[in-house]
Amino acid sequence: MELFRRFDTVMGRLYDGVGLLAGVVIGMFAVAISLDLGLRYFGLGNLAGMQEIVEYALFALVFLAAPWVLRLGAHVRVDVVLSALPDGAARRLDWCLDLFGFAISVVLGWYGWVNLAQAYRFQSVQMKYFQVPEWWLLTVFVAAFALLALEFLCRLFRLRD
Amino acid sequence: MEWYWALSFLLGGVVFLLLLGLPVAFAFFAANIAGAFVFLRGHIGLSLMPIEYVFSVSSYTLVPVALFILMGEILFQTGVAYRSIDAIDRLISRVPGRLSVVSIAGGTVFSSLSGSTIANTALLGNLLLPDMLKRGYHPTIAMGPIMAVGGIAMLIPPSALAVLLASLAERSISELLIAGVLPGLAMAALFVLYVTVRCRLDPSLAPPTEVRPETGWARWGPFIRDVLPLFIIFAVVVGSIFLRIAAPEEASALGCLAALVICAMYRSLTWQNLLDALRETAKVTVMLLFIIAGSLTFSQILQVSGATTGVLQALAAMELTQVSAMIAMMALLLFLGCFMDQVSMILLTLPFFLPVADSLGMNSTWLMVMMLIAMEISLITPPFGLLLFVMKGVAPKAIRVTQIYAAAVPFIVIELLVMAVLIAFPAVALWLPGLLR
Repeated sequence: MELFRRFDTVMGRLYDGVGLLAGVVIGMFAVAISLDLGLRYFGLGNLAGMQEIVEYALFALVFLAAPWVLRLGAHVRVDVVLSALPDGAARRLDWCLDLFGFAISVVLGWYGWVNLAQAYRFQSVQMKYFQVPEWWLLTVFVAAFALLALEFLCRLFRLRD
Repeated sequence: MEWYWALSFLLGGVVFLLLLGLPVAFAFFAANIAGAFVFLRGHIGLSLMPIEYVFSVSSYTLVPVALFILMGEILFQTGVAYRSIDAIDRLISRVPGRLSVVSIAGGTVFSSLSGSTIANTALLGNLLLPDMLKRGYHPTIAMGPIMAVGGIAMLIPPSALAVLLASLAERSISELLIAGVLPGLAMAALFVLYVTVRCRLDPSLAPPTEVRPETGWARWGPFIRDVLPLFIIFAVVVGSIFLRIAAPEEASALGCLAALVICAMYRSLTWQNLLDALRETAKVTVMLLFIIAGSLTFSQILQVSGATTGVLQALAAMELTQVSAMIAMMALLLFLGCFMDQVSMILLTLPFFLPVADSLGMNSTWLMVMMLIAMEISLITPPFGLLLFVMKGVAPKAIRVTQIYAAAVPFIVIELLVMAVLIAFPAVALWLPGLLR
């Protein structure tokens, strides 16, 4: 159990860093978009490809920071049933929900991997301003669900602890 | 599978998992996995699904959701928001239910600066409620206005939820943002009218409070110094959209920079509160957009399963008019709002509402404003309205949940009245966007 606690602390610090980084990236959106508008308004050109970078960064920050939000218990949930149950039953239901969340993350992570392998094999590419191989995007997806599965496991351990 | 079985399976599954307490995003993911097995040939459908999740949130139109939240967070974390409430407090005097009126005025000002209803309610609840209760205000007249005005943030731009709604509907974000202004202001005016009339008829509800005997600069100075400059942020966001200088994505970015500059000019901006604002923004944005990732795929599966078409054909057979269809849709939203959060409500109903509206020739901006009002009402609808719980969290322990419910009821009635007016006179919402065109 001691080993788990140490691991959990390390993961907590990692997630805190990811959360802050996600916030900083959002702040950079504001700066980049304003700069692009200013350049265009004064006829000085524009930040080519900025919109596409923002789109992919938005996807990456949402998925990679989702385990951090899960750890904070900040994913919205309707606790009608949980709050009506006695403490013991509510904890058991919470444990089952975490187990279910773990299973969902594993399934999505696995199929993300299958999709990634296909995209790599066929060299599928998103072509807008940049040419972005789809397997790059799917790597983020797989990593996110692997971390989510891990965080659900940690929650199961924490509940038992 | 018949469309009604598909609908029950998919929608029923999501609602069941939501009520059990699974995080909303994961309830949608679970329904998507089950839906892919049944309607998309299992393994094949599932292995093609992940890239759809990627595309669902790699969307430029979702950027204002994050940036409108950041704007409000900058003002809250730097304390600039708190100073302006104090300035509004000095300005309003000799009005029955003075502090309740201060909370409505302050809440309306913050609705124009922040996209978050929860932040609005928490701020006013923390700042004004203890003082009102200490001065002998009846809990009903103290808590009701704070909860009600919290919801106005959804209507008055910048509104993160309005951006989300228009973006998901693939309709004009600018039009919806502008369309919310008049209904939002009308609602605030009716709240003030209700509070003053009620307190004049029954002065025991709000004993007259000691007003600082300030005149001239001492009274107006703080307002000019701490509140008026904040309207620059509103002017930057709404003005740049209205004058067609900026798209909503760009207006939200300019709004963030304006908020930063103003907080720096007040010497309230530090690295620490900027990092706190960024962190809080990331938390709320990730939570919202992760749900969007799950739900967009869900609406695709609803379509493939035949449920969407089936519902639309059934509704078409009922030969609804625009008004009767609108009333039916609002009734459904108000029912869902009793136990469901706003994002889930949008995501579950939008795939059905939009095609119905289109088939009847209904103005989609009108529909979306009405949806925002229904969701605003749902925020304070007992037993599970979100702002009722926020209020419970900030109110003194002695306040019972039933008192909070009772405080919300008159304001729900006022909001239903505004909704009825908008059904009868859509122009109240559509006049301003008409000027935009």
